[in-house]
Amino acid sequence: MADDTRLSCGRSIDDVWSHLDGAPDEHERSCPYCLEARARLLRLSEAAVDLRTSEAADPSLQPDVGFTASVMGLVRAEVRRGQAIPLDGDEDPGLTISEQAVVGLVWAAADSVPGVRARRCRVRVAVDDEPDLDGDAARVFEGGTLVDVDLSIALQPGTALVEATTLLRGRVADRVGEESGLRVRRVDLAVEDVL
Amino acid sequence: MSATHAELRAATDDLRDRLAEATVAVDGVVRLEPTLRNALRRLQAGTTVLAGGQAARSAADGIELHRRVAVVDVVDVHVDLAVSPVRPASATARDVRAALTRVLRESGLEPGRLAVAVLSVER
Repeated sequence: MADDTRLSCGRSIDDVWSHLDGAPDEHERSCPYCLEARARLLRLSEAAVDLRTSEAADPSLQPDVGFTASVMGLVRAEVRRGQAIPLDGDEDPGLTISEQAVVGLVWAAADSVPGVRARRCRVRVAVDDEPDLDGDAARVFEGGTLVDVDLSIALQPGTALVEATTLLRGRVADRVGEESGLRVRRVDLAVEDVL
Repeated sequence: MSATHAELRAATDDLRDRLAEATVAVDGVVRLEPTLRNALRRLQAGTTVLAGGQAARSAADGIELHRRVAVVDVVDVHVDLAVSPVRPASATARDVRAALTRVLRESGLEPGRLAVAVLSVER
């Protein structure tokens, strides 16, 4: 499940980059991750055009291959990182975790559930006062920011839906709590496909 | 007597390296994580002295600091981390901030804004 070039919606950054010159496709038009990635990559593209113009005038300005590869690696990482989520709410500002890091924990938790494959995922800071739906105090980690998780999944045929999704919600909340310190208030699941 | 630009540059380079060492020594930190912004800052090697010697900025992989010269210099630090899942990222981040504070105070400096960003959790 871990894929260094994948956005939270499941699409590769390289796919977004490959048709940056054209209009966004149907998915990209409605996907906040792809729209943000396109905006960032377009800014990068404009900067690259400026640099190419300078290099054409002075070939000594051209970077070596290793430098270019390392910068492109950083660009891919930067684009997919997503928003910075505060780790301790308002109590200790300045401590953050990237949305992509939390999405990685959600994917790992989902992949540990038999018959389930995780797909798109979004993690957001909880912004209203809605109470925890299952009220399970064991999953509350004192002091951490409350977050909501939206996750789409695919199921293998024959998987018991209620049991699998109950197990999945618990594992997502536990893993995100134990490994990030965030508190998961809600895990909204959408079954997108049968494998 | 105030420090010369060269002295300020050397002292800030040394401080940046000690802050980086203290960060990676914290339980749960896998490494300092370079970012694009960080890489671009590093194109200008070492410390940059700003505002006629009234401030200095320095960056290395995963760490940036900004030092404002005063009676007691104030230092802002930003670190980007990859952490291990052996403990919550929030606990690791808090300990990193405490380590940064300790190094600054031991150096006779005032901690300013100390930002700790966890960019990835690696197993």
